[in-house]
Amino acid sequence: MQLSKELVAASATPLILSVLSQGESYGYAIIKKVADLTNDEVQWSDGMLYPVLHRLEKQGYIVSEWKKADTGRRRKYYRLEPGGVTALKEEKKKWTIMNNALSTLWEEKPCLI
Amino acid sequence: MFDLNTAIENWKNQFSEKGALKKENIEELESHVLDEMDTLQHKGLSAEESFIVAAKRMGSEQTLTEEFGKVNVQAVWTHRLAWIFLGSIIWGMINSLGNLLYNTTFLSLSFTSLADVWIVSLSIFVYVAYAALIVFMARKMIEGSRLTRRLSSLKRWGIFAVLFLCPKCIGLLNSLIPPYMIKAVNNNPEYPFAYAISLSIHTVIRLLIGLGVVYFTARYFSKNRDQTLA
Repeated sequence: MQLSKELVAASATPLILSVLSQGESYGYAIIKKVADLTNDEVQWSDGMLYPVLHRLEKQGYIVSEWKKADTGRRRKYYRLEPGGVTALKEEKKKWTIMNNALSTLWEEKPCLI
Repeated sequence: MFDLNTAIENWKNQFSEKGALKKENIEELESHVLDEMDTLQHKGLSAEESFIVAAKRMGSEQTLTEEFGKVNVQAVWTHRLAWIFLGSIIWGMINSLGNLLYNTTFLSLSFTSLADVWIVSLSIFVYVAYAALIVFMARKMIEGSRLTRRLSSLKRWGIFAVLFLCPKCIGLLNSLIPPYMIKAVNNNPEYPFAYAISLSIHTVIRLLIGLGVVYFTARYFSKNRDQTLA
């Protein structure tokens, strides 16, 4: 199933913040995590993740740090900031509203009277 | 024989040309590509195959440049301003050289002595070399640039013609100003700084024109500006 660009773009922030709420991570791992969680339905173009991460960092939601990985290569790790925790709560509220509304509509039984 | 280091360097170099990606950004993308290559090689792909796939999955140079450009606005404009200043300096040099050559060629000299004939003869060669240099530079800039490579031949030559004729058009506009006005401003003792003021205004106008050209060119070529992640 092909998800629309708009839906993928809109869900990027809550997905990234949610992944980082489980602990610090880096770009490649975030992409793999999201692909696994969605059974590869959400396939981000790899390079497009980084501008989003940098925008979130500028907004103060996350913070980055270069570290040396087990492979010996340098990697940039991201972790959630207090501002990101607040933003994630807001995102949860919005997506829950949408989820509840759609679930209610889709579960409605036809009126037989 | 595939050389991974050379391939990575070439791949990275394409991003450093436009200034949208900082050195740190490119390093981060490289780290991602190497991680992806590890995964792909673990699945049985060769180094070359895994590099091609990883680089492809990263996205095109144009799309990445556009998306990073939205975040690194300051870096993009610093890069553009540097080119505008360079363009302004080259423009001034070309104009000065053009004026110098004009004043030393048959266009302005009358053949009153043998020395004049020699100057004219020599300067014609310089004039031809100057014209060839302009043509070479303009063609390189238009046809060699990634920005204009996908334009039709007609459009490329149109831009080239405008670039080549621009100094002449400016000269024509200048010639529309009545000479007595120029004299009144430049030679009026009541306005000793008239030349400096005039030069400043011209510099500002030149920079604004440069900014305008860069801005509208960037807008024209920026497609799918709202594309994010997909």
